[in-house]
Amino acid sequence: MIGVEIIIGIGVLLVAIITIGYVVGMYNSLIRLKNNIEKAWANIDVLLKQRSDELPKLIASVKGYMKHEKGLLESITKARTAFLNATTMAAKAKADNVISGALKSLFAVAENYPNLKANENFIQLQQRISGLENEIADRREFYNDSVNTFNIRIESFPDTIIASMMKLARKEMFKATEAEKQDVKVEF
Amino acid sequence: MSDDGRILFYSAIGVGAGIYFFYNGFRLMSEKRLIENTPTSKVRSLAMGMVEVYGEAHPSKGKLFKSPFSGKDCVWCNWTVEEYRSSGKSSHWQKIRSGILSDYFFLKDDTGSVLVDPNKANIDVPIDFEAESGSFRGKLPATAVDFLNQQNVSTTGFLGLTKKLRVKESYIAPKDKVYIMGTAGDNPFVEDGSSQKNETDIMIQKGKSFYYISDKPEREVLKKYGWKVTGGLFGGAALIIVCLFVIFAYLRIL
Repeated sequence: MIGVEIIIGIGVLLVAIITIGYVVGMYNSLIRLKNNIEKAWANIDVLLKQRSDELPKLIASVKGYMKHEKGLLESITKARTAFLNATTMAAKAKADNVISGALKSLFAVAENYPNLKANENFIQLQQRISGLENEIADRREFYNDSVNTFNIRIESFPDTIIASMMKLARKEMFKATEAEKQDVKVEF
Repeated sequence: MSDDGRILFYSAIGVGAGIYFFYNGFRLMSEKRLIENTPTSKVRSLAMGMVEVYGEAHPSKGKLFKSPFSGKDCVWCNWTVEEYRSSGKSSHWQKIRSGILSDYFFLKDDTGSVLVDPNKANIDVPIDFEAESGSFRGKLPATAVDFLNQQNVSTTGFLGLTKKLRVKESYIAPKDKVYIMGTAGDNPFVEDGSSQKNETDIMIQKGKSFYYISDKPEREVLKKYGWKVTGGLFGGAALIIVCLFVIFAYLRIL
């Protein structure tokens, strides 16, 4: 009967290996998800910095044409300063929302200035910044997907047991403000 | 080898296979989790590192192949030729030639296109074309016969009778939807920072982690992985136990 005991023992061992393997996999997976969010944010931050670097050039190129839009240009400069001084993700996200909104207004208002629209330097900067805006939007979506996956996992059974032992908490999504969601109104 | 010896031998192989399936189940489980945990990126905003993308395959310039047997346009193709062999009572299909037609191709989504190097990828594409030849099985298509002649594979056998051959091919055709989980790295064909678009500087390739290409969407890929994981872990465990049971029974340990 020793053989039966050995087989039962091996069966129990295999089940234990599957269980331990599953738990270890779950732990590693949660760590990976947490790191994915940090990486996704870092990937947005790189683009936000690149866009921020383009803003002084943009303002310099439009300043001569948009003498009546002083307030708009100042709001972009202020938002850029706020972004550069921001140390937390929330503060950077807030400044980003302001910059994105102001840029939309700026490009919309630029339609009123035919000479500016024909300026080669402005066209290049507009294309570059619009490209960066699109990439930021994509990466923001990617970040939110990463956060959503993480939030679902840490609240689902059985992951929630491991997540609570690891003291993992819900993460906030990168939200667009209500003002940013609205279309820009331009008066001609 | 006696019958008992043969059963013991196959049972020992079964234990080995069970251990392999069991181990492979864990490997597949970690790959499945990686796929589940990685959101799909847009090509336009790809970041360096592990990425998941989904879009249409398009050939890079001058890199469109013709699949060897059906003559279809493709950006990647895997082909095999098998011959039916009989010896005594047993008979089987023996692989006599195989090959891969592969080169860089582009993956295009609604935001842009990125270069893909399929080299060293685990490409999971089902058989798209299969044909057999033989006295009662008909003939292979002319495209296939031409290709086999180039490969020095004779399609006729003894007394000029048609040989029993089977040809198979799996391919990724232009505009096929392709799912890729791989590493976004530098594009060696573009100088760093010289392009206007982010994705032009990038090429998806084999990195440190696994590299997987399929012609199925993510949901189906995960479903397939789910079956493989379950089969590997529980099937492998069951195979180990059953084979051990047989070995112990023959050794009269039970």
